[in-house]
Amino acid sequence: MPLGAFKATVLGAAGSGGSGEGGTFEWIGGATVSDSTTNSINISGFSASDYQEWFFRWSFAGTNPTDINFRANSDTGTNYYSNEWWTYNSNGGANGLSSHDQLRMVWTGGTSSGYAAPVAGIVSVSGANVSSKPSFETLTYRSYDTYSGYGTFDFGTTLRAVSAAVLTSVDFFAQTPSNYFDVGDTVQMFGVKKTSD
Amino acid sequence: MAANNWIPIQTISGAATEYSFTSIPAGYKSLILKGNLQSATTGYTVEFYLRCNGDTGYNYQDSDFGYQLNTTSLRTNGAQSVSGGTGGFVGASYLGDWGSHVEIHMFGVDNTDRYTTWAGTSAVGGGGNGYNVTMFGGGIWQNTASITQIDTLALNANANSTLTLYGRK
Repeated sequence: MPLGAFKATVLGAAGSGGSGEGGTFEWIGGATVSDSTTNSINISGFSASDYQEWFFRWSFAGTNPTDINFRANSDTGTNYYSNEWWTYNSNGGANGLSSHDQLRMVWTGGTSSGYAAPVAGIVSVSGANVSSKPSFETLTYRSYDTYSGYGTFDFGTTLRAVSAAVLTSVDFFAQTPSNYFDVGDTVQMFGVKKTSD
Repeated sequence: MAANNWIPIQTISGAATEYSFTSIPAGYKSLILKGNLQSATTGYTVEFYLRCNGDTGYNYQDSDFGYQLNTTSLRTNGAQSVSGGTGGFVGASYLGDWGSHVEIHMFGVDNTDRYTTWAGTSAVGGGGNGYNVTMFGGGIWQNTASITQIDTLALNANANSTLTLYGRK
């Protein structure tokens, strides 16, 4: 495990539901940063075959501003075809990246250390447990910081161009590795079960 | 606890001109459509629509905004008295295996005091020079009847497509 990485392994799905109707929406697992030298969070060990929908909710304090990026299955290859658009105050922009090695979830342009701006988002996944290429959709909000004068809403998406890519792990990591996460920063994973408990 | 569930009602997969969810039971406060869709229609991206209870009349409103195709020009659109509300935007035949994430939340579906209203997102990355979708879309069916059927319009799903209808009680 590289320096600065935080790894959480899901040993068993939490929650029970038990309605008998199937489709239990439940918390699968999560990770919360507990030291000041973490720059990535990995969640793995969950069973893709148990779920048909996937969601992530995450919240970072943003003391060390940096773009927050996402990878699936620890894939660092150039398999990500991403697009995003964002608004900041009354402005906006759009960007696309072919054959990239990650999905960016929020743009923190113009920021500087010491100008914290909390950032939070959701990731919704489709095609992650079937034999097609999965698509990831991210919605992220970063609050206003007084250095850049920006408060950013970002709508991002990526196609991971790998077929039969059943989701087995995810990584949330800092674009600038030395910009560590804050203690208490958290990523939580939820799913909809295929069958009832 | 059923109230916290996404109860699967029906999944439709594979090639079809339209997807039709029929005999939807009563008793849900909201309905959700979530899946991975691509159209077989010739082109780069396609907008598809939703209709309720088989109503093909001009009884819908729709709107959408975001980015699609290969431009960085913001698309904004809205219309009243149309024959379907926006379901989403998906990749089309030119894109190979390039499925779009689609998630639509519908409200007022079993509330006879309210029109049925929905809002959703659709998204697929195409890269810097490619064709992509990052769109918000929604619609209103101007009718207070309980929902028993939801049909797509102009989808023309390809063989890799799949869409599940969930209910929340």
